[in-house]
Amino acid sequence: MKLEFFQTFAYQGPDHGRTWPAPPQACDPGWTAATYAGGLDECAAAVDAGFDALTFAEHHYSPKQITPNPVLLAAVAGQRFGSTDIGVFGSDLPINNPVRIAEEYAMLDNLLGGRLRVAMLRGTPNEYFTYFDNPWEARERVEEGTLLIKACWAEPEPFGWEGRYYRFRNIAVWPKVCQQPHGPRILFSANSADGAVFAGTHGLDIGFSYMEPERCAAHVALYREAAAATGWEPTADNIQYRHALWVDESEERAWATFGRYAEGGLFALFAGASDDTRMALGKVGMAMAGLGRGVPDTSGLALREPGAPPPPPMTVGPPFVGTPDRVLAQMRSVAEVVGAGRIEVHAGFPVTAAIPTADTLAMLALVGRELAPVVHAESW
Amino acid sequence: MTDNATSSTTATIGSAFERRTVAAAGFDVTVFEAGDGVPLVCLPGAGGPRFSPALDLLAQRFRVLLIELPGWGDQPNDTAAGFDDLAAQVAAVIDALGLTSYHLLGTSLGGACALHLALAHPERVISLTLEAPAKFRADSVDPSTLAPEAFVRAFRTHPERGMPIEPPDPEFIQRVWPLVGRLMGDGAYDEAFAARLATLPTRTLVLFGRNDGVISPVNGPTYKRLLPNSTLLYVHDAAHDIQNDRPEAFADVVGDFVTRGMNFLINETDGLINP
Repeated sequence: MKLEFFQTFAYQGPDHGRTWPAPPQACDPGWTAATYAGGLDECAAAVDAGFDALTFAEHHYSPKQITPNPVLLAAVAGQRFGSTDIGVFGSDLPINNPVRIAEEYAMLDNLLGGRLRVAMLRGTPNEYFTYFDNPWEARERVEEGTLLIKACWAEPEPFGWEGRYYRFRNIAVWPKVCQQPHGPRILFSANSADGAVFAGTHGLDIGFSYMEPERCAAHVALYREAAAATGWEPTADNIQYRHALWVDESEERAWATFGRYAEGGLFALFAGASDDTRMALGKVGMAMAGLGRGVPDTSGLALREPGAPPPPPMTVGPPFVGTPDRVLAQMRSVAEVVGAGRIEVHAGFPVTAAIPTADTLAMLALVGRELAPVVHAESW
Repeated sequence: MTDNATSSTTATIGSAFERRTVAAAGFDVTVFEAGDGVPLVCLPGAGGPRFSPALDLLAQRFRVLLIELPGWGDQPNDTAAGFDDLAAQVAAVIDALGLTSYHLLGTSLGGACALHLALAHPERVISLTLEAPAKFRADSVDPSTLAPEAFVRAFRTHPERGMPIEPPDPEFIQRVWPLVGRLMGDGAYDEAFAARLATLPTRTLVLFGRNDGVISPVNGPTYKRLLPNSTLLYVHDAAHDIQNDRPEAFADVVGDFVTRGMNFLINETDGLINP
């Protein structure tokens, strides 16, 4: 079992409410510098605690995660923590140029000496307001873009690509990826059934974010089935599960701290946006699930016909919150139910405000003393 | 235009083409022709001439001439020992058509023949497009050996589009495949031929469907490496039969290449949103 620390870089300055996008005038460069410095200190603490990898993700226009380009942070962390694996989980591929992404990751893979793994994701609904991209195209773009990136890393000669959504007449990525012959392992979100099938078909890793373990397990079965059909068998190391973590010496204190910052949960991040904006965000979410414009809906367990009832909304699983023993038991359970060999955690779930760096450092020290050694010692 | 909305239905695909017979090189060769403008000579694969929505679209821009290769019609071809011979026979057909210079499109086996034709007559071939050419065949399969379901999958990612796809008639295989085998040889890498390709000045577009289950797209880079004036382009979401899998994409890129040559690398699409 491997433990990975997802550093979100939540802005440490004064609270800016729950709106998206957040007005840039509220951003203080002094606090930004402190956020990046403190975030890297937390990464150092995570490495000391025994985490196997540091991971970063792309998010835009928000103090909740000031990481519009996670590649930059991965490069910095990779240089600073020279023996730790680095994950970029991930890029919001449909809103980016996939060839540019392939180039950046090829550079990063070389800078890190092959310690890089990456994820190609659709991103959260709000990201489709970032660069004015069409959310109805998200699923097909992330699939085509991922195949294009694999080609960018593998092709020995210059080539062009006549895709459904991407057209490039001239591609020749330099530098070559460090990890030969295929490049960094690519993780694909399996929160949707079609994502699980695509990953299995194309030899990718899968990751789950926040979803209840039982539903993840059903998607893992689809993943394994698709992999078998193309002649390979995933192991637990190919399967990752992401959730928030907060441990403390007592159950009550752990939940009190977690709850203080996580009030309202995932959807509260946009509570301050206007009703119209939230309605629009909801429409984007429907679009990404393949609904609302005649696109076949494949977000449920079974690949379904247009017009079939929508899939049940994602049920969020419980975060890893409590005493080290309780969280350990929970991680064991997730590993068993999901079949995951990697658990990726971020410190708390900061919605109302960022969690102070000092608190996170103390929490990570406790993880290092009482959780990580047991996780590493056990083979779940 | 979307891929799902091809420009023609199955019933009308190829209906614009007129059939005629040309006597040349000792054969009565069938030629299908549609459209006006600069000539685009098309050499089909081992399955013989097949219409496609892509050819229909190209015929809206060019004079498209689809030639049935000598030996694929009623008369056996006992004189072609290899592709150089077949290319000479095709050159005679093109002469009989009165074409002195032309753009050339070769598909699969026809792509291998087109390469030999361009090597023999570089002064006549304005541009060369190779669709899944069958000259180099690493990791490739003989489609006549495939079970029906595998056959369809090898040729088409989207069998629901374009012309219906089904395995060839056994009688056709029995009649034509000895010639195919003679022309194609064992598919081993031919050093002497590779050296000849280095002398070909013709601008060449090499196309492979990423899902090609007949001629593996891993062969694409070989052409790019050997042909000094070439560009390699992969068609996403297409198998061996790109013309029927993604007809609009095929016609778009081939039409652009025929029209603009290597300037097709330049994006001249207007990016201005509003003045």
